[in-house]
Amino acid sequence: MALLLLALLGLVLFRAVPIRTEMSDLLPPGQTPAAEFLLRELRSGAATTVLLAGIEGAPEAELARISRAVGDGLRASGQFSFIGNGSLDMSDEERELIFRYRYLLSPSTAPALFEAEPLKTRLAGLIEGLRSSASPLLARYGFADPTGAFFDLLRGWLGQSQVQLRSGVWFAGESATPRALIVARSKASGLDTDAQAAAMRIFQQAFAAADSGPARLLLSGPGVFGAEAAAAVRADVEMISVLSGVLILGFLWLRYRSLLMLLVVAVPLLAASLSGVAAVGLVFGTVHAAALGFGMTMLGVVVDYPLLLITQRRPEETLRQTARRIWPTLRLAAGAAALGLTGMMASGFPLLAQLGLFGAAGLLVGVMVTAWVLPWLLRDAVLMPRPLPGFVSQALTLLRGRRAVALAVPVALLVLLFGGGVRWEDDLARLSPVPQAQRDLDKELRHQLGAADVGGVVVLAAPRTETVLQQAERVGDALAPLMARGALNGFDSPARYLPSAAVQQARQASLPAADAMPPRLEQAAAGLPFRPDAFQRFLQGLEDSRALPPLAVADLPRLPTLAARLGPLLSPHGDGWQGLIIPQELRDKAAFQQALAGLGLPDLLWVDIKAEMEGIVGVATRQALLWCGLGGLGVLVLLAIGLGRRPGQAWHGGLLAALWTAAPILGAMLVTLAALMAMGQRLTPFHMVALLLAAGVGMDYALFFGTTARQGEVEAERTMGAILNCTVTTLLTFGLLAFCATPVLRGIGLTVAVGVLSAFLLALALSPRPASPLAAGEKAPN
Amino acid sequence: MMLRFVAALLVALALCRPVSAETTLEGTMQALAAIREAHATFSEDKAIPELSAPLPSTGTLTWVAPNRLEKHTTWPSEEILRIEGDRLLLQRPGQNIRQELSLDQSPDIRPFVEAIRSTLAGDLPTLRKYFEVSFAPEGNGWRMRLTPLSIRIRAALQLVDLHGEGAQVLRVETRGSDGTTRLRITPSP
Repeated sequence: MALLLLALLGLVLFRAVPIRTEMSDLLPPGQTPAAEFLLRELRSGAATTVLLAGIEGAPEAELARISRAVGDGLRASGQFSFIGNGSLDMSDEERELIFRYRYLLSPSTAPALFEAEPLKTRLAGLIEGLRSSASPLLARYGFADPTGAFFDLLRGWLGQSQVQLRSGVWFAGESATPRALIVARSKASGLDTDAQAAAMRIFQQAFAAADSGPARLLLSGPGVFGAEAAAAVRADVEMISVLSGVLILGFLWLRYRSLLMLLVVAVPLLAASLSGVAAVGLVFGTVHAAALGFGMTMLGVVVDYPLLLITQRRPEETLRQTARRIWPTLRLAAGAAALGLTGMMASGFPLLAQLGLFGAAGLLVGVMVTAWVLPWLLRDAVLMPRPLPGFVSQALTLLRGRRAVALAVPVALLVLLFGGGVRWEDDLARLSPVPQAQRDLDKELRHQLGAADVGGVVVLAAPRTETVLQQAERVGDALAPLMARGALNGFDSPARYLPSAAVQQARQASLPAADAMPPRLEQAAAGLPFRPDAFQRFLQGLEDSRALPPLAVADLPRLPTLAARLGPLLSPHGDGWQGLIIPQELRDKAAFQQALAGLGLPDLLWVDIKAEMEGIVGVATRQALLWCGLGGLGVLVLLAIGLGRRPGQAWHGGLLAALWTAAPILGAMLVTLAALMAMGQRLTPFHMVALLLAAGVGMDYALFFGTTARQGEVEAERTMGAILNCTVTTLLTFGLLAFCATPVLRGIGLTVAVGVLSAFLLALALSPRPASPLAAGEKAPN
Repeated sequence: MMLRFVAALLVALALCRPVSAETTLEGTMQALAAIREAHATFSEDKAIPELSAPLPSTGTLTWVAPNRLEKHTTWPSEEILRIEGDRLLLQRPGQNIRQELSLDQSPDIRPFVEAIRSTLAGDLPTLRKYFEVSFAPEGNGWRMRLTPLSIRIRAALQLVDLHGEGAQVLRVETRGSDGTTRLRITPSP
């Protein structure tokens, strides 16, 4: 009945609270202009609208056919601004327009291009080409542009790409089996994740419609990442829920021989999860799917509370009495754990803040439901744990008060000190729940498409495009000498596709005078079978070029292919425009930065992506650590107050008791850190949250061991059984997480499992030995 | 006298009959379709309006049914143009040029290819997909004129004029925007 009510409540809640899947929510806010730019690009930049695809698993000709069919399907959808899967597809109109502007756009336009000597070589080449089967193409452009400026321009745009053109379609150059490649840029903004997900589905539909047979589609892009991450987390959480559910069920059956026990455990757990969702929904307006997945997993520890309640009941007590008796300790434990997690809310890391609140709210509601609702629900039910098997009980008794176990703490400290300390995760990508295989595929496709890892980017901003383009040209001029000596391999710049008006006008001015050209042509054509008037179209073209108004951003709608290439590099931003220059294979960073600094452009921003990423993660980690520490301090204060209120204890006694209670927990945290380090885990803020959670749970153990040890052997025995049950269920849940595919979940699982186990052992070892011998204990009044 | 004239006419008719049967379009196409493999040498003259003299070249032609055609130019510089199915390969070893393209993707190039290849294959439906076909017996053989159907194509290729005897194509004259190309084919045994 209660479960049904909770389930209904859950349904309503999930309808009311929107769930977000934006991967960019995982990112912390930027602190520097460079970091801000980077995060903005990650959220909405050009890369967030690009889908990369590979098609493989069929013979080359078949793959080419499918690639073309997919390309046609994508074009027909009208949802993509650019689709690249083969030769440069330009409409006749665009080709003609670019041809008309060839001498204004081509970087080879210079006085030397029109001298007789270089022309002579070109003309001999033209004759050679006219002999070939490609002569129609050469006859079409060769006489109007014997300098080859137009073909040079097109070739320059294609760049040094890794792709191979086979059967008219892009193929990966270095692949064992043939793989056709497609790049598509969707029209929707990168911020519109629904549209990006829709773009992914259009792609998949186009592939399915292409009659693809045995061929496989490998797709990558932000929409895919979001979907894959959500699916991975869901699959993991489902796997864990089912497996740990079964294991816990088995364990509870073993210990209590009652199915009711499962319900007893489920009610607080469900209530905790729901209140977590509700709290996050209330405070943040939405719940991130990752926070939901991670949070529900973490709240598995709530199972402890009903176990403690049920197992600690004395034979003569009603459950309500037990609840009242243990409430001060339970309250303190849960309050301390929740306080620790609340610190995360201030971390400024949206996902972490949600997770902290989710956990804190869940813990508090879980403990309240356990103390107040469960006794009422279980009025008449009798649930008694079976006694611990003899050898377990003996082993535990042996362990209890064995201070030697605590030696593990200094050992852990030594490991931490001399093992080089914990390693912090500095790669933002590894924080993401996107599966490794998907990220590897993305990297591979990127590499095959010749879009090598972008190490950094130069950002230019100005109110007018002309200023941005001129600045881009100045940067280009400054980088040319670096390229010449191999400091970098090349760079992409908006000026490569659209030179500034100033440069276009300079090129116009550099064109030879009308009467200078015919004698040079005559000289160059000497001995070759050209008619005297063969190059009339060329002379006319020069004449036209001199009078053209420079090509500008306003002309781009007539130039879709050019616009698609220029778009990612030159885009409106705020009131002005933003230009990006992307160096390729930058080898000498110092020289590069020096060259940029020498330009004296105040608005130029160099963003070293890897360093900035590491900086962002570093800042976030430091903040998480800081708030973790503050949370821990808060826990100590709370403990001191809580324990100090015991009759007959001074405040400093409370502090001492608090320190004594917290000691095994601090020790357990050290041991956990050392264990994580030994397992080669790189720590993330998520590990911190998990560690706080484990500490919160461990606190229960320490508190209960401490409280009940004063109450005699039987009580101590009972508590030991209760806490053992708790530890085992926690291990069953979180131990399984270590098998997850999602790195964050795996980290949480390992941290909580190791943390709770070591907290249990240390709390047991450091707990006082029972106050009186066994016989006396049995009679001891409370 | 009359009888002898009639007899002579009958003999002449009898002699002509097989010839006239083959010099219909369908008959010629059938005869061409029956050839599975053929080898020939060619000489070509390309007359380009901007040039004062035609550009000559020679080489060999190979045809393998149903869709493989190779034009191997050996003089003055080597070039291999191989068309098989949907794919076109152009190689010029001297210039280090190797280009490959899909004919499905190149509607501008396709008619140039099909004019020769579909004729050799005796594939009339494909010819009619791209051209208006006019056919007439001429001398001992036949003459087929192909005019592109698409106006867009006609800007680049105005006419393909083929001459042949029986199942042999002997001359191909291509009139395009870049000039006129005359191809002479000599069958190899």
